[in-house]
Amino acid sequence: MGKKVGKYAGTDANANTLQLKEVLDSDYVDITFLDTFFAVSNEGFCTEAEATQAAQDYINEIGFDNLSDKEKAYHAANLA
Amino acid sequence: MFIKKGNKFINALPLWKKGMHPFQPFGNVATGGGGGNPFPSVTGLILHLDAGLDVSTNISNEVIDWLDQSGNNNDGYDPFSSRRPILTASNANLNSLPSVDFGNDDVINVDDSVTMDNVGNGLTLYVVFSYVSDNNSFPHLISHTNGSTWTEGWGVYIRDNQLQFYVNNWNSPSQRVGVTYSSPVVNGKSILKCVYDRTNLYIELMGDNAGSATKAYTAAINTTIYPFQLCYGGSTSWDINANIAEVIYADSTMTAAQRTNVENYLKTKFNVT
Repeated sequence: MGKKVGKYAGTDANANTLQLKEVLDSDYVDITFLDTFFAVSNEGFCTEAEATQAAQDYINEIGFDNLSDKEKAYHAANLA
Repeated sequence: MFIKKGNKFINALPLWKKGMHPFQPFGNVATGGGGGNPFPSVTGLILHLDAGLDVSTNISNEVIDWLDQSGNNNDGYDPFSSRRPILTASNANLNSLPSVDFGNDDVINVDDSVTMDNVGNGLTLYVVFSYVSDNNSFPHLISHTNGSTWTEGWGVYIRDNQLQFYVNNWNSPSQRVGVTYSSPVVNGKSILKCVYDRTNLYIELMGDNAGSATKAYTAAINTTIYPFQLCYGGSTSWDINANIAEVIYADSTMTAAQRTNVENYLKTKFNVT
């Protein structure tokens, strides 16, 4: 199982906005899309290398053909 | 003419001297009205950005300041020198009127010089815009929330093939309402309307992508110290590319007659049927 992207939806002002984990903490909502791996990196919650590896694992896991149209567009614009 | 404002030199010429036409030459500058289509009186108006009035740019036409016409000094400004939108003198998609064009990662902030956080009486928002593109999962057209956390204030973003208006928490289904936005018209012309009256959340698109939706909700909006942001959801990860011609924000629900007057003003000005 690859890593997921979680976005915080709780009330702790000090909590991290995003996280990248195989099992997300309870206050984090799964927002795993191709672009969100890089959002975690952009916002400083993981390295670019970690985000890139997790994104690649995600594509391998679900298959490129099963990416949404928006994910395919993101891939073409940013990763191809 | 260039003037020094803070540590920046800005082009302080009025729009007509920068080659733009004064579309309402005899109007009330303070409200953006003019001729036979004056801007109406609005209860609780605290922000009015009009791309045809008081937009300061550098020599590359990048927007540095966008002065508030409401009289409250809630001026728009460039938080990042590398992410400035571009002022277009005549946008063919927006009835050939001026627009501020936001590309990748561009943003304009509006700080809270006059209690933009006081939303106890509800809020009313209008944005005249032309959608261009987006490349992330939660692109924000406009936000007044706690950075990229989105658990205070409110925002308008694209999610689940809808344009959604959320308050207090981005992820609570009871606190957001949306209209279908699965294939938004590119380079179209839309007027966004959002109203929260402590009874219902309401969102409506007039013009292209027309639709409306209502959801019951009664809680007060959590205030936030973070700025109001255009085409940005707190970080470059959640931006949108769009052209914005006008933003009207009231710290009240307005009266029904006032909302009708504002909509008639905008529909006439931008030729939205």
